Amino acid sequence: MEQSSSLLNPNAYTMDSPHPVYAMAFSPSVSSPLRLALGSFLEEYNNRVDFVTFDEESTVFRPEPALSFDHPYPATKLMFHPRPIPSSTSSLIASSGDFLRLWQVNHDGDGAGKSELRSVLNNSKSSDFCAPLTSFDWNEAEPRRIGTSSIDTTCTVWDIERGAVETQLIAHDKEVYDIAWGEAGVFASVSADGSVRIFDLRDKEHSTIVYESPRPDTPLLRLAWNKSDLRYMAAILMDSNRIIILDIRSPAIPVAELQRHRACVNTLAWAPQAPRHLCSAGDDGQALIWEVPAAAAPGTTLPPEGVDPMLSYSAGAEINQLQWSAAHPDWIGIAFESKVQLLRV
Amino acid sequence: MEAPGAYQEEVQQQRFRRQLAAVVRNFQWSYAIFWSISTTQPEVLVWSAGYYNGDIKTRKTTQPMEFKDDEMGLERSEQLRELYISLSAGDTNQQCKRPSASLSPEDLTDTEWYYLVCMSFTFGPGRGLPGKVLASNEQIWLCNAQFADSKTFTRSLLAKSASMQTIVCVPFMNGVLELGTTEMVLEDQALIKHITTSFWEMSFPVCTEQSISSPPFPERDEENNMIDAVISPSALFSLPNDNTSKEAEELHPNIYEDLNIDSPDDSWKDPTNTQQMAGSFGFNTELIDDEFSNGVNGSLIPSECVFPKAAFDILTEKTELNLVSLDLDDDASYYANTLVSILKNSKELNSFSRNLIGGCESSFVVWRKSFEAEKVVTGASQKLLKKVLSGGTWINGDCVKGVQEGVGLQSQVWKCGVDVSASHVMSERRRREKLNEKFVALRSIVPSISKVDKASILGDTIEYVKELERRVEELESCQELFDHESRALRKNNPDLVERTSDNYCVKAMSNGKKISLNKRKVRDIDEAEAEQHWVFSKDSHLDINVTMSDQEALLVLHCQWREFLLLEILEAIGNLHLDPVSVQSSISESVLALTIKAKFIKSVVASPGMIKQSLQRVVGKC
Repeated sequence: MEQSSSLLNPNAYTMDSPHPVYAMAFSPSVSSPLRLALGSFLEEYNNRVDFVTFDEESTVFRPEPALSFDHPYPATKLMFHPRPIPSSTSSLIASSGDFLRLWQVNHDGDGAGKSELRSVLNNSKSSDFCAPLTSFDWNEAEPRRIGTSSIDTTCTVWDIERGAVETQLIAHDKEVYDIAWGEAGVFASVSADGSVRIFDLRDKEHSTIVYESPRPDTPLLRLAWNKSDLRYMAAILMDSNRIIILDIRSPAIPVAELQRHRACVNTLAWAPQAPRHLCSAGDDGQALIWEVPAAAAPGTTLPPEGVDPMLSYSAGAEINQLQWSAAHPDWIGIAFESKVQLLRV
Repeated sequence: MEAPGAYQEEVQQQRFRRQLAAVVRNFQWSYAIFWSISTTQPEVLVWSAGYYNGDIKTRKTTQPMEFKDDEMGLERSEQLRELYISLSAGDTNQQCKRPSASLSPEDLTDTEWYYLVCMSFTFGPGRGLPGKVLASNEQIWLCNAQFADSKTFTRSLLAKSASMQTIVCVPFMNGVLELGTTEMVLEDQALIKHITTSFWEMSFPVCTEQSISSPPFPERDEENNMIDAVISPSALFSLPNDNTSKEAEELHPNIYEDLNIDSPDDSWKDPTNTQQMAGSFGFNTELIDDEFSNGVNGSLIPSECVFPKAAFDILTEKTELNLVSLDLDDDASYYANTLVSILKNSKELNSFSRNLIGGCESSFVVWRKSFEAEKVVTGASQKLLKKVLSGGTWINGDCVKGVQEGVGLQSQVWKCGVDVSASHVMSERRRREKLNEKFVALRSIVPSISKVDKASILGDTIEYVKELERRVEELESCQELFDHESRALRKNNPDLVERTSDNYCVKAMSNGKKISLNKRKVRDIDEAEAEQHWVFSKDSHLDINVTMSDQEALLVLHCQWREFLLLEILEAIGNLHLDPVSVQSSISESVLALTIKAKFIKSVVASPGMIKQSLQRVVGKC
């Protein structure tokens, strides 16, 4: 992996990877080097997860090959433990793919260290069938909980300390594509059936539909719940350049539909500390930062021409992944083709 | 367009400002503000006039530098006032460009900011320092203003950022005169008197009105004899001394850097968006007014409050100050809102602050609407995302290869790539359907089932099977006994045997009406309500079954055939006053199978036993 700077923009720091990258995660520890986990996406059974640190001052990427590990089925999502022990040299990272797996990454500094598989969480009774996981989310308020979403229409909540299923719900009528935690016992999911549903673990029988795609059965592909202001959620539709912003207190009617992308939107992330900022990226190679208007008081309407983003960045190729670092909120990571770029906000 | 009256007012205003200036500079304090009763709202104090004498960072003046200090001071205060007005102006000023010599937010020190923000404050009766002073008509001298409780001194947090240590409020004319300094000055009544008296002395030259012995130029005068300090023109502008100004400088980058992190909506180089900023300013004053007039703990917009909390943390440099837990009184929340609006929305501030950090720039640029092709839809949209979400259908057909190559766990896991889970679901569904069908079939077989739920179906079936088993046992034992006895008794007493056995059998039979041993449905037997008599005889291969109903007798007979047997049987039946209605007979392998349905001729009905006996006699005759 070499480090090259983009000619277009001197403030975007690029890293070339030998294979296409899809999954990306920032380490949430506030210690100075930014650490990134990158999962490759090859249509074969020989994928890997690699680790890279980025020094903010010298703007240099430093790969950590000692920590990388094999992940044959490509990781659909990677996520570090949301509340790491500060000044600890090991972190926990979870990956979803065919199963949910937990890995212990011991970074002893200076490039040494190693990663090892800690547990494989598999709920299928027979070894014949497994339903691959499309996504998962680590509960920040209750870090023993991880919720996974699968194409078998179910969502599973794991207690990772016991290594056992806490509950498994049939969440939708069709494949579930994404899941996000709100509070300790509340999560939301989106599905191919076009609905956003909120589930409360205290009342598993019922779910609340917060939004349904206007053209029936237009799948919703991704969901993000604003952790700094739990009222707001954002979702992406299939084959659409729109981002739907929802206020859970007024379901069914989106707060806004952000329509400035010139091609389909692939990924989005809420700003980790500001209440209403959102960054999205798509096939037009643009990463846009938006400020979402506050939920309009009844009687007022949004400007008909729609909401404009505040900032934009052009990558030059379809951007497949975007992550906003929680520990270093002025850095956003994007992945396109085989490149990973860090953008300063 | 000014009417003469307005002009007069203007002159008076000017004079008043000069007076303020004189006062402040006399004592070398940082600022003076005169709060007067609002014309629009009774009993509310608003900013009326002020003079800023504190630390300045950049000097933007329209006049040459050699101009008199007092004039510069006045000008500065004017500029600050103009800046405040432009920041809080409404929509009309959206596009206004300030003259190049006017101030912009990035030019201000913390103390100047404090002064500026003070302009936005209003105080209801008894609220805040000025309000209390007005209400009680007594002066207040506040030391350590930055550590003061925000209940007593609402702007304590603001003061902290500006290092404003001493604030004095004095009731004056129809309002409150407030002076503040970044120095720590102990309470001094004489000072206050001097303030009020010196105010009335319209003295333009600033030099020592107060004739007090003057120690040479003040460093940080810890003895707090500010009055004693020499007043010299240069001193004015270097006051507060270098320490504080350095601090302010250092503080600056920290604040702004941190602010930077917390306010991602920065680096907009587009200054045209003052509207939003201004709007929130305007909004906030309304909010204040409401809060103050209603005395209600303001209903804050929750989302706004999340951010100010962060801002506060930064401003107080992460001290232990227990901030804005959002259930503070309205004063603190007002403060919160004002600060929010300033910090969050003052975009120039943030954009400038970038330069402080060392010139590093954002990767992002301000978004500009392009009028090119509106939507460019590429061929395969969201390609990678769809592959990720498809759950492995991208694994091309030859999944066996993948399985073989996979490591350990993988090979167990992956069968056919396509729709693995779907077929699992389907097979599960089929299994369930099969089970349900079988439950239905069971229900139709077992007679006593009334309920349709699976548990009771199974329960009834169990009981039924037990019942059947019991009857089978009985039957078998009965038959054995019969055989045994019949053999034994036949030797001794044939008639007795038959009778006994008949009776025995009858008894057994009557209990077992429901037994169907020749595959006849239970229902049929029930309906017939018939008695059946079975006779099994192994020796002579004779089976006779006589079934009696109300008017009919059904005889089923299997026996060895001989000549004229059929005729004799029919004769015997006729003798018993039975009229054969239908006869079915067949002979196979010299065994006669005979089924006769016969009607009773007379009212006297032969008992089955008698019929059997006679038949046996007939058959037995060889």
